[in-house]
Parts: sequence; C-alpha cells; structure tokens
Amino acid sequence: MASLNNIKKRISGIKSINQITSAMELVAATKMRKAQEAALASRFYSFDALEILGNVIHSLASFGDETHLFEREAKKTLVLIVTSDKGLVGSFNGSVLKKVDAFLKKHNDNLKEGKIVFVTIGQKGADYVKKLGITPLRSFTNYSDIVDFGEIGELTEVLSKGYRKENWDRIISFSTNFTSALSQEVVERQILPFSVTEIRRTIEDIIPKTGRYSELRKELAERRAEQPLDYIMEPSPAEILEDFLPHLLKIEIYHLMLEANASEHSSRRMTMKNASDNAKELTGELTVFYNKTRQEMITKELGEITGTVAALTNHL
Amino acid sequence: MMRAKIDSLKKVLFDSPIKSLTVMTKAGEITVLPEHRPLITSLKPCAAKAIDMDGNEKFFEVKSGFLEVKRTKRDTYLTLLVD
Repeated sequence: MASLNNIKKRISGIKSINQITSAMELVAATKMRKAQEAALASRFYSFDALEILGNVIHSLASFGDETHLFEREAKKTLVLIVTSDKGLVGSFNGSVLKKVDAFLKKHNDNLKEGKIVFVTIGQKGADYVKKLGITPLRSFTNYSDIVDFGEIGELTEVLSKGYRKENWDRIISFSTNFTSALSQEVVERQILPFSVTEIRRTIEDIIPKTGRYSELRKELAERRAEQPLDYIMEPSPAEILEDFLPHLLKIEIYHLMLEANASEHSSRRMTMKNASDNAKELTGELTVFYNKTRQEMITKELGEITGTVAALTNHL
Repeated sequence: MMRAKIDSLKKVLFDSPIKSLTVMTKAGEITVLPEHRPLITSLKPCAAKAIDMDGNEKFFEVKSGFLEVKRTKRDTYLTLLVD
C-alpha cells in the first residue's frame, strides 16, 4: 500500500503542474488572439496584393512577356520549413514535419544528389533537418511571438538573392494555415517561381471557407475583370515588376508566418488545456485514492485496538 | 461608379465609393476619375487624397505602395496598397 505521504506529495505535484499549464493556456490564448487579429487584418492586404500580381502576370503572359520569376526549369529546390522554436504545442510541429517527410520521400533522388536545400524557421525545423544529416542553409530562430513585418527582411533577402543567382530554381514552403481556433492545416506552397495557378490557390487559402470573411469569395468573383485587362504600367512594366515582386514575396512570407504564429499559439492553447484537464482529473482520482487509503488505515488501526482490548479483557 | 479600397498591412483604411483619387506615383502626380484605363503603378511618399461622394476630402499617408485601377463594364475599382 502506498504511504499517505507519498500520495500527498503526488497530489501537490500534480496541482502545481496544473497551475503552470493553466497559466500557459491563458498566455497562449492571449497570444493566439493577437496573432489571429494580425493575420486576419493582413489578409485583406495580402489578398489584394496577390490579386494585383495575378492580374499583372495575366496581362504580361498574354503579351508573351515572361521573366525568369515566373517560369524556370526546376533543377534545385529550396524547402522552407515553418515551425516553432519551442515545444509543448501538441501536433503543431509534428504535422508540418510529416508533410515535409512525405515530400522528401517522393523526391528522394533529388535529396541524395543534393538538389534540395533547406531554410528553416524555428528551432524544431532546424533540428529535423539536422537529423536528416543535412545542415540547413540558414536557420532563423527567435522571431517574435507575433512576427513583425520588419523582422522578415533578412529572410526574404536570402530567399530572393539565391533565386536571382540561380542557387535554386524553386522555393517550396511548408507551413500551417490558420482556419479556426480548433483547426489548422498544413499547406505546401510554391513561393517562387510565381505562377498564376499557385497564386489563385493561395488567395483561396487566405479566405476562410465558412464563417466570417467567407463572403469575400463572392465579392472577389464580382470584381474580377472578365478578360485580361490591357494595363498601363507606369513608369514601365519592368520597373513595376522590380518593385512589386520583392515586396510581394515579403508579404507572402509575412502572411505565411502570421498564419503559423496564430496556429502555433492556438495549438499550444489546446495542448495546455488538455494538460490542465488531465491534471484536474488526476488530482480528483488521487484524492479519492488518498481518502480511501486513509480510511483503510484508520479501520486497520481500530481493528487492532479493539482486538487488543478484547485480548486484554479475556486475559483478565 | 468608382470604388476605392485602401489597404495597409494592419487594417483596411478605407473602402467606399469615391469621386476621385489623387496620388503621387513614381511617374508623377495623377488623379484617377471614373472610367480610368486599367493601370498599375508604384507610389512615392505622399498624402493620397480621396474625394468621397459628398465632396469631402480625405487624406491618407503613403510611405510606399502600389495603385491598381481595374474596370468591369460598369464599374471602376481602385486598390491602393500602402505601407
């Protein structure tokens, strides 16, 4: 039989774990709300920016004026993995890495030939790549809980510089898309080269399928011009693209990371909530066990006393 | 009808029908009126001036950004991305 003191210690230990996880849950809930607000607020901007790019590409394509930013033979691929720095987030990192795993299995030959390079965001992603026996080209960690537009300058610079120098010919990202506080999904996106279909897909991912903001889909369909428009580009198409594309890349990455931030915090919140619930349940069970054990000991002692008393009276 | 939407990364600053919009682009100052040709241009730091349907002037700070003008048969849509 477990000693009463031991059970007591376990109960108080679980109680303090419960306090910690409850506090973490509250903190994560607040951060989630903030990240969610930032992500939702930037949706409109990103959405319009992508729409403009889609239109530019469309009108350029109809003139056969293509640049290397749109089509290129994919000899080398850069994989961008967006994960969190810290654990205790449930399946958040696991599901991203699972998807990366599946991708790498499919492109195993390329991986062996060194045609796939990695840039990671978050410690977990970096650890994963190192476990594969590959050193990530760059790994970015310690971003703010809710990423700031200014922070991602270096990252986008690395990505676009290497692309321009033809160190890689395509950038694929694996990140988590925030659909609601209860559900997040891992998405694989091609960031570069830009392509009209990919952009349309990204736009559709940005708008929630149901609930708030979902009416945007209809509005978008109404606003979309029926045929490729004959845009005037000032000062010149080349200059516009030069300005617009790096900016767009930055927005796309910013948005991607905000979505990941919101997902991370909501995932952490859920995990902590489960942990707190578990701790509460366990405390309850242990308390019952403690009382039962205590009662048993009292009964045993009483038995001993009455037994002794009976023996003594008989003796006299 | 002409409708303008001004987006910043933090929020949508403005989204309603307007009479005209004046901004400083890299190629010079322009005023967009209804049925303008489709246009894409990048903006210079300026104060964008929108005149709403009641004739009131509204100003928005632009550090950098882009303007797109697109049309359907009936309507003109302006999208302004500002930082």
